[in-house]
Amino acid sequence: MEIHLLKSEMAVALLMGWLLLVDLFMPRIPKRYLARTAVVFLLGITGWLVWTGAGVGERWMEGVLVGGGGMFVLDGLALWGKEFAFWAALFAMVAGMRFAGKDDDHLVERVFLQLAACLGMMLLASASHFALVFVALELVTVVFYVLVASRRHDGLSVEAGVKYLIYGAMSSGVMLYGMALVYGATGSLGFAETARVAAQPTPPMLLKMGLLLMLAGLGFKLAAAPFHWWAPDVYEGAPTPVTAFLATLSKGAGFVLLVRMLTVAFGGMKEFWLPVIGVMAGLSLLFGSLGGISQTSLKRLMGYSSVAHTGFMLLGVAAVSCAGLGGVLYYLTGYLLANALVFGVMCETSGENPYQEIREYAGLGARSRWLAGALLIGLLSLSGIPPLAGFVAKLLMFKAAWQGGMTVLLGIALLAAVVSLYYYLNVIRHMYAGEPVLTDGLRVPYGVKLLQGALAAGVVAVGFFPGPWWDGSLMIVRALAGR
Amino acid sequence: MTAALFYIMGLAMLGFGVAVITSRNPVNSAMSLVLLLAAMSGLFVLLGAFFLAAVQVLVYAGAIMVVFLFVIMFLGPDEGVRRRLHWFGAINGLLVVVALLYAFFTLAGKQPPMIGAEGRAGTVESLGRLLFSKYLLPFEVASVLLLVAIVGAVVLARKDARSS
Repeated sequence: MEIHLLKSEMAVALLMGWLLLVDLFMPRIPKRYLARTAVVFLLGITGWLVWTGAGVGERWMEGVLVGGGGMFVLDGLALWGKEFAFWAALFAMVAGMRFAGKDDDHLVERVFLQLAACLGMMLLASASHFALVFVALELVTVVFYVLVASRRHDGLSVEAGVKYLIYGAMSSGVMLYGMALVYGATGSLGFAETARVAAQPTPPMLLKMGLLLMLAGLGFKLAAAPFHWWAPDVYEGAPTPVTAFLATLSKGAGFVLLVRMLTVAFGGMKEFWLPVIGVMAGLSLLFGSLGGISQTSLKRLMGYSSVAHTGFMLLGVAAVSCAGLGGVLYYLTGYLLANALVFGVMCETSGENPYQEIREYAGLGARSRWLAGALLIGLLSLSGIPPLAGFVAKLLMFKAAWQGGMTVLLGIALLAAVVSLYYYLNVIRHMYAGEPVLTDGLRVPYGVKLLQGALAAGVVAVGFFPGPWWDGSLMIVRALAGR
Repeated sequence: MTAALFYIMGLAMLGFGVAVITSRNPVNSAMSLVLLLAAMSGLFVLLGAFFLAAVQVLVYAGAIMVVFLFVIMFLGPDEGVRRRLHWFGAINGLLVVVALLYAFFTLAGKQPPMIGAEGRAGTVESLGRLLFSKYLLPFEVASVLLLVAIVGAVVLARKDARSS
């Protein structure tokens, strides 16, 4: 086993163990300090990963780095997924600490769980063997079962937790059944062997059934229609920082796995999975955009919004071109930044507005110009207004769909973009023009201002100068497809 | 002999499976599930997976079912309400069954028989060898998963220091 390839994963695992042990043996240390230390350490690991490319630098471009008996690959997509996991976890940890308040018993455990989900996505980004895929995916999902229900005194949170647990366990079972069928058809769980069988002129029916079941299971994690029912309820019930984490990390993890699985393992069965992904994309776009219109809670609205965004990204997957898949990675970058902004503001206002009623956002523009501005930029990016990241991302998806010749899907996507524009703008209208419910000013600490300023700058920069991000994404996808 | 045993076990599994979802008393459902799992472990023996068969009986038919029964008894087994058949669910279930049957029958004869695990997979030794060589990474990740599950259970179940 090539253990040097697993440095970043081991660092996160060590951090998790350290956190638990220090919390156990040194109970005098305030939990807030411990949690902050963990954030600093994670930031350090992130910096190391970005700076050195997990210790392999640019070597991944020269050839595939394989470890763990062929189960673990370190290529561009894997590094990208790991970075995504780090940023999503860092943001969720900071938001969680802001949200928790001063006397929180479970702060350290929550940080531990968030680190575990991050570790799960890091492994998932590298997994090229279904055994590792399953264990890593479960690591992410089990963390969310707990986190979603972690406000135990709030009925809505517990209800969301139970719903997520039942749907999640069901979808994991379906996915596992799919993997068993793939094993039956190929005699192996490795992506490489699966690819060999999938490349036959007529791939076995059993393999197709396996892929179908796995796509159904994965559709749940991505909140893709028709497996999206849980999303609005769970998004609404979960504590706000957990919703943010769910919206970013589980989506990123799902798409990284989907891209790798479909291009590397099932690249030879395009004709089979293309219509499936296309139908999922179209349904997600419709359900996500139309379902959001009548929502009165911003958190629920974000649930529908996440379904719609899954639809846009599936459009890029369905285009089966480097432009489409690279666009998915670019889209995820913009999506992560914009969601971090929106949910960051939601965490700040969650004390006075626990159910995130859109009505109660009225007058936010006057109460805190800073928060309103951050929410404005986040929502505008999500809706795809020109200079921001969300606009370029949507444009890339439309272009990929056009080049792929998917006119019907493109029409649905345009419709969805217009409809979702309506509901995002509705929130903005309330914020600036609504009759205020509360009028007292909101105090925002400097650290939060700094973070939101950086995120907003990121959204603008990724939109204004898409070059570097787009080139990077394209390079990653080309390396993946060229193999 | 093997074929006869296979059919006996398979039919038993089907029968108990139907009993699990049709019996109106939850205790009967749970007991049918125990028998179903026992019959399934018989199938594992036929496939040469002796270790898996033993674990199946110990963990599933034993430990997990005890927890099930405990919960049912704890909540009080009420003579169940008569459940209505959900047509949507029934039709979907039938569709899945038909699709799977189609997949299996188109496969039969055209493909080499389904491939078993490498070597003498059923023994503890070969399983251990695989776990500590080829599958070391997922094995280690599974240990992290278990740790996370324990921490999660504590987070959800522990009493608050303040509220108590």
